[in-house]
Amino acid sequence: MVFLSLSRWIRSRGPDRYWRVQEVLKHARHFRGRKNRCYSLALRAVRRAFLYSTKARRLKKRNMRTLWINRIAAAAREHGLKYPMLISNLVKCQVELNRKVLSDLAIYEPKTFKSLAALAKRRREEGFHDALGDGREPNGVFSRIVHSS
Amino acid sequence: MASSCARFLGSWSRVRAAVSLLSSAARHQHSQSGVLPPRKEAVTSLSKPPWPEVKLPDPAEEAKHHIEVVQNVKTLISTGAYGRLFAVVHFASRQWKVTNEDLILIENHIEADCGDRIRLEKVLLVGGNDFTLIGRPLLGRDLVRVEATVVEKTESWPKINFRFKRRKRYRRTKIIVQPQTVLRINTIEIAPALA
Repeated sequence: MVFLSLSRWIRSRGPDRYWRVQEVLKHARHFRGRKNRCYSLALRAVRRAFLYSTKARRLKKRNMRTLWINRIAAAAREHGLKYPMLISNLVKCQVELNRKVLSDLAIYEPKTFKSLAALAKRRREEGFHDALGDGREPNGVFSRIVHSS
Repeated sequence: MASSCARFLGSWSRVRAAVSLLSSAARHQHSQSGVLPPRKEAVTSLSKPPWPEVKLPDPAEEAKHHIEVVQNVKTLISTGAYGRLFAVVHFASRQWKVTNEDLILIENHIEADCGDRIRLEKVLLVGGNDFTLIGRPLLGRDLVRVEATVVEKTESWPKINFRFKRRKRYRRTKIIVQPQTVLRINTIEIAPALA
């Protein structure tokens, strides 16, 4: 005897709810409290976590750069220079080291950083010296003042 | 460049000399007898530059010192009296501070197979315990040689890019898998001939 109407009373409301729920819970297993077990709480927490991680990928670059700058500034001050002086004078000397590498050198290669700081300091002094001028007009310019002196 | 800066810099050195020259020339034309005492200029905030006065060392002595330093470095390099060298290499749009036996993870695909030996050419700085060679901005290809091997080419773990606006029915999920390459830096060599 086969009961044909049983299947009409019991319907399957979707066979894969378990897996759809597990997809969310697997990202929440290391959370604290009921958020790691209960689906509704976990869904909210997981959405928040994903949102934070996407935003943080952009923020991380900014934060790392700030960290490098702070470290370079501290190391430069140990050598009697300030951060803007160091960076601008190194760029004027055509030394194209970026902040990440400069901070690594400041931590792990102190002698190299000291020589870079000395280079920047010397370039700065040369800049001051050039700014005062050498008492001559540029090439091709004839001036009564300089001529009479 | 230098003299054009001096033009804009108010009453320092050269321009002050010009003003005093003109005034003294004007005075002599008035046929006044006797020599007038030199006019004292007031000391203002523009009398001297705002930076402390610097005295650069004598160029001849400095040149001698430079030659001596370069000679020392040349002897060190030619005798091979250096231990572990480090280099700053520009690769994959990033700068890496690198030594021997280092591993580097690069977040993109490289046109080389696993096990290929690669030469990293853009070297910005090379140093050891006693000396550093700083490139402006790069060091010569005949000066430094940095070799690396491609160890592994994989993909990153699946990163989730999730955008969500609450109460606005907006949700976008994207899974990003990036190719990665791992390089092992084998050697850093300096050539004995320095320019």
